[in-house]
Amino acid sequence: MSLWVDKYRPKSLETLSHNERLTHLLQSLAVEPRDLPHLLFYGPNGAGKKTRCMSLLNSIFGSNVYKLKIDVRQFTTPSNRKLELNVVSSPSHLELTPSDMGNNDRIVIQELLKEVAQMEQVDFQTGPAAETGGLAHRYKCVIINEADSLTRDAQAALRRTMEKYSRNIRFILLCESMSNIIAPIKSRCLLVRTPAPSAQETVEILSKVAKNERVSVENDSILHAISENCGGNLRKAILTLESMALNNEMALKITSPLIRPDWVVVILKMANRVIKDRTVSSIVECRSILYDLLAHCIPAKVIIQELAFALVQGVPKDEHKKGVIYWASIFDERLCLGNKPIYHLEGFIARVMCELES
Amino acid sequence: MKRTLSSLSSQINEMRGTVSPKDNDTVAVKRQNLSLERSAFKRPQAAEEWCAKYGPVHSTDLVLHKRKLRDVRDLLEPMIRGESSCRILLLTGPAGCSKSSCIKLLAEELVTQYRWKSASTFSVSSNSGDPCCIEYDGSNFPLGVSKGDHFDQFLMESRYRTGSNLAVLLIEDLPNIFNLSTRTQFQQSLLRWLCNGEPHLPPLVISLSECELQAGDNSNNTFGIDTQFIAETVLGFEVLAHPGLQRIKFNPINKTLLKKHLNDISIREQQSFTPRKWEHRGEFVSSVVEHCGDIRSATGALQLWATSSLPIFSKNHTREQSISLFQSLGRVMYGSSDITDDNQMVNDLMLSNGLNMNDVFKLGLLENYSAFNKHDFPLRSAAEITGSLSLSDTMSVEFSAKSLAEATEYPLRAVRDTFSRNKKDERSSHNKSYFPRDSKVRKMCRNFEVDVDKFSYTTMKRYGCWYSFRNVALYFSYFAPFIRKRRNFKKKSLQHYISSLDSPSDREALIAANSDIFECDEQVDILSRVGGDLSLVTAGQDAFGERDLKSRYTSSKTLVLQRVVAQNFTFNEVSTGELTEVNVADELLDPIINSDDEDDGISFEDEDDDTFYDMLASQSPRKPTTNSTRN
Amino acid sequence: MSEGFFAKRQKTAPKQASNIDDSKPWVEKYRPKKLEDVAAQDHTVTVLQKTLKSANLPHMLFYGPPGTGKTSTILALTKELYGPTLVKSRVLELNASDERGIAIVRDKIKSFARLTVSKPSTSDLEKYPCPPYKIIILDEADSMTSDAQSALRRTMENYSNVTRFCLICNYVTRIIDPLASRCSKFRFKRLDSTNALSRLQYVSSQESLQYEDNVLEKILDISEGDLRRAIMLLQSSSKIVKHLEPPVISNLTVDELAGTVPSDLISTLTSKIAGMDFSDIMKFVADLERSGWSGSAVVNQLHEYYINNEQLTSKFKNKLSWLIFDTDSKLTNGGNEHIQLANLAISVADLYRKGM
Repeated sequence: MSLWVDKYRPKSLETLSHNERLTHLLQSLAVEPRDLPHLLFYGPNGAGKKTRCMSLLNSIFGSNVYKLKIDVRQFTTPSNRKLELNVVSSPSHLELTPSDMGNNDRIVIQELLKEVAQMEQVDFQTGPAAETGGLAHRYKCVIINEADSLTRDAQAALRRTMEKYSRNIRFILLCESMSNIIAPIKSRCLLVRTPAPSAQETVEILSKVAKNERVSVENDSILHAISENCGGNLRKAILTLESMALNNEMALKITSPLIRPDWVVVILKMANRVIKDRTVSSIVECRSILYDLLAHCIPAKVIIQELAFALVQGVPKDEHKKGVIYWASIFDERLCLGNKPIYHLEGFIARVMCELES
Repeated sequence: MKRTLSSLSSQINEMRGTVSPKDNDTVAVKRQNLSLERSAFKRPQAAEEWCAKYGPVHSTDLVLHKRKLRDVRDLLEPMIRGESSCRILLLTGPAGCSKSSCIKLLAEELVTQYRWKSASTFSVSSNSGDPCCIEYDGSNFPLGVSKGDHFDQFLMESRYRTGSNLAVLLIEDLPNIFNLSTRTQFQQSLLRWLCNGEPHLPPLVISLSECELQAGDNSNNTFGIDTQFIAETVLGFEVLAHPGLQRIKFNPINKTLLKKHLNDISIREQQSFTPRKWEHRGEFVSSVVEHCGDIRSATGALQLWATSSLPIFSKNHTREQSISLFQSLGRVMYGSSDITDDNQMVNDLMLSNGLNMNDVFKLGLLENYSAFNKHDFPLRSAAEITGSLSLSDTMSVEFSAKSLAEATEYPLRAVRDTFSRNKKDERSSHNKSYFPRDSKVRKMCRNFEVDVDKFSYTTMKRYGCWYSFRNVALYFSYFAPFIRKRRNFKKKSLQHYISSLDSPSDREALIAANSDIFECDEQVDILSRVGGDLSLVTAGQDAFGERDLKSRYTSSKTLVLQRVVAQNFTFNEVSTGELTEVNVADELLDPIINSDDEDDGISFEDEDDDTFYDMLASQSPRKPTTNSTRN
Repeated sequence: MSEGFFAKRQKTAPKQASNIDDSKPWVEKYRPKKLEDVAAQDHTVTVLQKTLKSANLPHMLFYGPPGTGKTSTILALTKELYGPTLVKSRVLELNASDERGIAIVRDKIKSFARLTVSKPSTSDLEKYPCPPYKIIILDEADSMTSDAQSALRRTMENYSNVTRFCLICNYVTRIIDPLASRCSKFRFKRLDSTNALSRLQYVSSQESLQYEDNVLEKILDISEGDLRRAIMLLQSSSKIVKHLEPPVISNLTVDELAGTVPSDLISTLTSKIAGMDFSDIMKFVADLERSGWSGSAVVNQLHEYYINNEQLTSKFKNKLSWLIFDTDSKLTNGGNEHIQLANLAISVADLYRKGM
């Protein structure tokens, strides 16, 4: 069987778990699919943006939205570099992840979407479309994952495309932070906030999964610990649950150790090191660790975030807490402005060590 | 520029030799004649360039250290005799240090000697006009032949240059190796040459002028052919590591030798000196020698100065000797011993072309600043340096030449300033400097991407789920293999247990109850952490050692996808398809049963231990019986 | 003969329109058709109406904040000048930010400007002034490159006998001086609330919407004088509640759609900040983050709260506005919301600690 996180992923609007208000909203959108506006889902990672968006599509187009297939598309940039991109699609939708395309996302967005737009959706006899009467919705949905990582250029192009092809493309943008989305796009979309499940909701979902998978849970407190550790990221929580269950012969005890992804552990250790061992050679050590994290494609922004909050947790003095978060905010911004993350990560570590000396 | 210079001079040399029999060669010669005529027309008074005029005619004339010459001769002679296992002789070094001249002269001396010997046995005459040294001419090839093919063809044609028409093959001009496919083809041709089973092959000499290149595209500053035109990047490590290849490194020409040579020329050209220059030649020669290890450039500069109306104390016009990355790093960190004024030193550095690779230089600073006084300097300084580097990185976002220069200058001055305030510990010698790890990390990133592609395609084909790259990198790359590995492990232990059962119905029931476990297939599922375990990325030059890096990194998404699809077909045939179908239904009906496994504190690391499975098998896994009783 | 043909076309046109009408954005649907319909820009409107009579139009530069009716004004003006049929051949509207390179100015604009004026039909001449020039509208002119702008300068001069330009922009400072000096400038001021409110009321009565008290005021509040945004917000909220029983637009819906943070959350945050317990603040910020609230919205609302707070000293506000500006800029540059918000909250709490 596939991973529990996929197995227990709700597939239709009716089965969505937390956040009923949002479910109602989506249901009301699904009633009149012809009128579907462009949507912008925003909320933290693992809160269920994608799940909700797919459920919505499911109720509009029918279950063939889950018949995914993958294509590798090639694009040629103006500088004549070949670019390969995974395009996931079903008969009625298309998925793009701009972070795969780097700085060339504008070209990809323009070319790909032009192509999609030019293909009129003629197949409207099957599925619920037929019931709502003939010309129901002749559009294709384009899901853009991580829309906040689109460059400004690409966003401007997208804005134009939204107007130009609004007849046969509907966009669903998914993002974690709305601050990076330009205002014209925001104003053209229906903003859908997707909050992460609360701690209680997470525990309920976890215990449901555990029950279905015949995992014995000694005490709910272990589930609470998982939920606490994952901070509302349901994906992470269920993956953790499954790993722990399999690691402990399907019986979770209070004493079972939490399983965290290795990179998180590495960052926590590094935070510890920064606090305890404040020397130049320690910075050098940290650099090696940072390089390895980067080599494993852990986004630098995630590294700095995890590191900063681990440090804030770890230092006792309020003065230091303030210093850590202040420098984190500075280097976090520089990460976005610059193009080599290692400078900023190391700069942050050096600064924090300095700060803790005082 | 350097390349055209060197090829020009080699062509001139060739000119002085005999006219070659090959048709295309004569065409080339004609062209050279034309170009020479044209230059003569331009400068009637200076009919010949001094460096050609006073070029060496015998190996003893070479402005080269005697020992180096002997080294080359010792390697080349057995190759010419056909007694050496060495198939390729590689000469590397900066431009203008007599690599090619050395080979040509030696070839002339040695080849005639040995050719004559072998030719006498067959009593074939008339080959005395044959050139002793055949050069590959990369610019001269028929249309419709790809450059890589052309090189291959050249090797094929020349391979019988043994025995009576023996010649040294000199490769100075390269095909367009900046193109990846041409480069691969080039390297493969060389490999084939190295591995060729034929006992006698003509000696092949590659003369490679190494240099750091200025990369135009900021984003491409990896340690690769685009920035470092050196043997490692041009030939590839496979060729370099081959035992059939011998490498000799040349240094810039020794100052005393060069000075002597220049003085000799000046004496012989005394009459062409413009008035008053002759008296000051000594000063000029020493200033040229100080700044230049390139004989061609030095001679040219002398000629220009002596015969033109340039002021006597003009700045010399030699090719500026580029400061290598590590030299400039050292200067920024420790200051220069020659130039005591830091400001002046930084200005000079900024002007020199070594810094044009902004990113590599800045990354180099980051990599090496900590080596100052063996890590023994205040944290504040480290914070200042990294802070300045980080700030400069944000400055270089706008791609204008000026902002790029400013973005380099800022951290450079910041580092120098910081370290000039820290007293240098005299006891600690300079530590080893490292090339920045960034390029290595980028290669690893690409490999990781390929691994993720493989993982994603597999998951997609097998389970119909698609994860975004970010989610794979953050969560699935760790969790999914972890979970599957444990499933696979359980599966093995269950299989062991099942094989000990007698009744087939029991077996089926047990399989049914644990269908999810049995779905895991170690042949298809990826069971180790995607991209490999986390460890440290260390500094150092071992980027060439990681061979598998290269091969994986070149595979494209399309290729990975095809491979995964092919793999999955085989899986579908092997898998127990009907089992899963039954079980999906079963699972829905199943009430929740308690797995009665007890925590036994067994570590799961030693997996292939049979006794361990036996022990596990004795414990009861999820039993179908409990299931039915509950029902 | 020709009249009959046109009459036929006019008949069929509304039918098609009504088909599209449902999905047509209200912003387009309720765009003022006549100059006198343009809300709250009295001065500009009177000046332009005079030009209608004299049929002599200068080059124009409209500037002002978004959603104040700049585009609507010029569109209405052209309609009144030429009538619906002639508009197509006489007016060129370029309104995208992306196709504005110098090439466009050279080719598209120039070739249109160069065209001789087409002859109006007699019926049009009776109803409309039909002045003998064409109008080129360049929307969002401030996003044109300065190259393109200087190229435009020549074009404007060369073809001024047959062409009038209307540049529309938000920031007049981004138009190069030589260009601005050739145009008569019209400043569009931010809509005052009474005018905007009456427009919103008109729209909602036309669409027969039901809404809670103060919803329209709230929409205006959120959209900060931008009428386009207000109408779009109104439309999307009506879409959401359409299938509810009863279909009443509530304050909550509007809040949710606009992405604004409920005021009780903001007041909890401010009281926690005033409480100066760093760990407590961090925890609350994490919760905010977890609920998915947009960081920039939180920052904006904090700004509003603090600036309007009477009890704070001006020194405090001074420092605070810097902090808020700093955070806002970092967020716009792509900063991580959680880190930036935490930094802001902690820094403000630190201000309290320092006793300001």
